Amino acid sequence: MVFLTLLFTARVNIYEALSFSKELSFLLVLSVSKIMTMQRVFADYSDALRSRTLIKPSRGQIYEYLGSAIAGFLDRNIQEGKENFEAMRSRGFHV
Amino acid sequence: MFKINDVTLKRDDNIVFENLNLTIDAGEKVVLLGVNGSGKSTLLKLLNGLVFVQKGELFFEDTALTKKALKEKQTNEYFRKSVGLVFQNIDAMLFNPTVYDEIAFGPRQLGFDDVDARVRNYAELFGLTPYLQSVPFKLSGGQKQKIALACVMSLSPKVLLLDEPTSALDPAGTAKFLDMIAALDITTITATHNLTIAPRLGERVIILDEKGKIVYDGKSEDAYEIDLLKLAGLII
Repeated sequence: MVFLTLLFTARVNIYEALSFSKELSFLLVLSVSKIMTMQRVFADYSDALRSRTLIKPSRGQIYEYLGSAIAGFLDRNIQEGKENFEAMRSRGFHV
Repeated sequence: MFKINDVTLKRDDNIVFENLNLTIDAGEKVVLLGVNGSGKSTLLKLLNGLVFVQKGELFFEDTALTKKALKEKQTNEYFRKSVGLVFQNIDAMLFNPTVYDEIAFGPRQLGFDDVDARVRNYAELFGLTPYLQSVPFKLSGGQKQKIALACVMSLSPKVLLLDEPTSALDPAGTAKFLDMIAALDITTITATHNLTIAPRLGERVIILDEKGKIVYDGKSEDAYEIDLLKLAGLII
């Protein structure tokens, strides 16, 4: 199943595949852009943690950091989701 | 063009503006200066009908900008065609699969007949023609900013609201952008805390302090006095 999914995503241009529906295209682009942004933020977060840590953090500390990072990600996502919608409205969406 | 009468606005229990009064005439080029959190972005969203006043009144060309007024199709369509906003967070503006679709989004939504011509014209103006089939959010920060500008400019708005429009542009891109703004014959309201470019963005300067209160509203010649900028927290 995983192999088939990977094969499908490698062979098919998913943006073109969903181009028949504007709503699905927006949803796909928003989802992929959010995943990419979060990936970048998570990489920055890990680097920032490493650059400010002298010794390897304990498992407990890692869970604690992870908890606050996830809360931060959620908060940021909600905020950005709201702004996405404002930007759409600003350019006439739902007129 | 815009008239703000005694406006009070709260967001998340914080007072952003209290009894704010402001008039902006057609054709003015206004620079909004203020530290982070002074309410510059909120003021632009207020003028773009994205947030609404809780007390007081806000008018755009004699029409009160209320939630109810913008629910009317005709009013909303006219207002969205007339007033364009470039967000500070450029990523929020990019939700289409290609640069072409991104620029075409506004003109399509608002029923323009010449969508293709508009897209090609503004892509050319901002040097985006080679990227028309690229995925917008995968491009560099500078290119994203150019796309955001092209998206709004493609609506030929009467009022252009710009929130830190040059934050991701390189010096050449910034110079080109400043020339373009100077050449535009429309109302522009630009929020920035970049004091280097501010004098070139407009002849009227409004400075907000950290509590969202207007501490200066006047000609740009007198706006960059050291004491005034210190008062607004823009320099130390």
